[in-house]
Amino acid sequence: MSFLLEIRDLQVHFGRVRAIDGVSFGLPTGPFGLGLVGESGSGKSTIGRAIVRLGPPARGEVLFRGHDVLRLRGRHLKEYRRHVQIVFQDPDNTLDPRMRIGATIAEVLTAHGIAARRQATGRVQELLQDVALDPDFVDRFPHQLSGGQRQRVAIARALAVGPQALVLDEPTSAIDVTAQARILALIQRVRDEHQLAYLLITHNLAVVSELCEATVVLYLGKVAESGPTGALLTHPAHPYTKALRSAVPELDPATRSSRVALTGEPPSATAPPSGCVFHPRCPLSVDRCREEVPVLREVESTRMAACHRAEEVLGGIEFSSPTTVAASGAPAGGEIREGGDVACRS
Amino acid sequence: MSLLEISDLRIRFGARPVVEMDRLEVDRAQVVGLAGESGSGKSMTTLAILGLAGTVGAHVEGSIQLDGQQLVDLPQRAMRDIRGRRVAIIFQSPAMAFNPVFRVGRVFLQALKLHGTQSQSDAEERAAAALRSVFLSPDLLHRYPSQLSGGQLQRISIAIALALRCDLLIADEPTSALDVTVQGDVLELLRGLRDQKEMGILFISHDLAVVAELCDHVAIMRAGRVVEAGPTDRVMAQPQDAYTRELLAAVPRIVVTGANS
Repeated sequence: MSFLLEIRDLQVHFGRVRAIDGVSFGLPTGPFGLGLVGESGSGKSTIGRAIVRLGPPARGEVLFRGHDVLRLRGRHLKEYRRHVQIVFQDPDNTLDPRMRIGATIAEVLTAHGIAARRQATGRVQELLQDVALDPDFVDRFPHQLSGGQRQRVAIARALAVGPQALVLDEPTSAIDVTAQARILALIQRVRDEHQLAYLLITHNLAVVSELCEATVVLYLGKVAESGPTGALLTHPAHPYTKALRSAVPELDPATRSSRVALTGEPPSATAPPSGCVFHPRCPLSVDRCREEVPVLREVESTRMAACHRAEEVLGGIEFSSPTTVAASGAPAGGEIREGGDVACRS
Repeated sequence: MSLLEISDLRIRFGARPVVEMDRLEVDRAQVVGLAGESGSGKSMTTLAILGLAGTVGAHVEGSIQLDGQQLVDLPQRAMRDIRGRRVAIIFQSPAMAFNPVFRVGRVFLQALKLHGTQSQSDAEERAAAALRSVFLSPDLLHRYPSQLSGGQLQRISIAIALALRCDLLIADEPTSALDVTVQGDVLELLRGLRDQKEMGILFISHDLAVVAELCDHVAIMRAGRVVEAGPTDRVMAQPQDAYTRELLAAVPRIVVTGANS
């Protein structure tokens, strides 16, 4: 399969810290949604920023239509940015509080030479309508808009240059619940109308399940698992995916599964564990996990996992019964407890 | 009589009403959810319970009773005894609840001493015991907030409420800033406080899925009013109010369709 955007063995280091340590995946031509899921510190935003060439220099390859974007400079880099745009979590930090909405969007059009200043206004109004905002908003300032409306402006600004791919970095995490649902519906709609491919960065598996055909699960700068979203969520191949999945709160008591709780705190990339980076928190870890780094390998057709025991996890292995809870202050020894009471009351 | 009984609560800024709550009750050993979006009045209600609404310039009328004691218009001196000893609060961002220049142990012990624990050794013992019951090592008391994770700090906040033997815990979006696996741990702790310590918990949240997992009762707020209230299972399964339905529909769900494969 040829990808619109492909990441190969991406490495991002902050000093001696390997924030991203050899990540590879591909984003097909749109309409397509790829979810990038992980907890804080997993490196998901760092990957998003590396793709659009923000942040520290990355090693490895980011290929757009086969061309390495990590080497692009000047005019070529600017042209690349027309094709791949990013939307950030918090529109408050990315909209200039002193610029009217119209000027904010028009700036993108003139900067990329898409429209002269005079003609920009009409195009800006179209873009606002595209994201279901009143064209009159051109004269407003960001503070006169709600969080959801500001995020729509950010999306309109990203769409202004007619991109083929978007990096959406937690686009709904900073806004109210009902506005969130409307933003997700908007993303779905513009993706179909504009034949967009996007990388959706989120910590919320439910968001991924609604908007992404495929998902990559990240843990401490490495891919733990990837594959079609439905299969990955129903039959995880990595114990971490299983734990994440079981931690998602569910409205309906009938769909609640017993919780696979992890001991200890997420490790720090400054001192990554030996062997498999997940082993100190993994309910299934064995001696091999402490010593040997698991490679990301195909565990089923279209599915990859970096776990020595992926076949057993796929086969539905029982996660061992409750044991004592480790003091989270100390690095955990690998005990687990299965969430009891309310989570299992179904 | 319930542990907390709010009736005909009116909170206003000048002439502008921001909360008009007819009734809300929290019993011992019960978790009641107060759910709604930003600006619905959830946090103003908690400020009123703590006697702090005046600090942001709001005016409170009506009745807030804790164990039969009227809290509205109680003098600040008396209110100070209730805050901490009877009612505790934990916040969304535990990092902002701890002074960054003090070790967390110092903050912890100061809270205990202010609320009547006499000797240093007694306070240290109680702090250590409380930390163990939130599954943390007492050694963490020697650390600074910046050396602890968000999940650890939130558990220490809960431990302070535990050590003070509060009857009512107000949890204001306590898991919104935490990772989902850590959120699970905190929810489990809150269940433990309810079941083992018989604490009453008022759980403020915008996340109905979390409310559904944790709360016994729920009140849905919109624009300062409770639009619907009742046992959580009933409200989630048969929402009566249109806004409740809208909120429920907005919760992203894990949907698994064949189209994905």
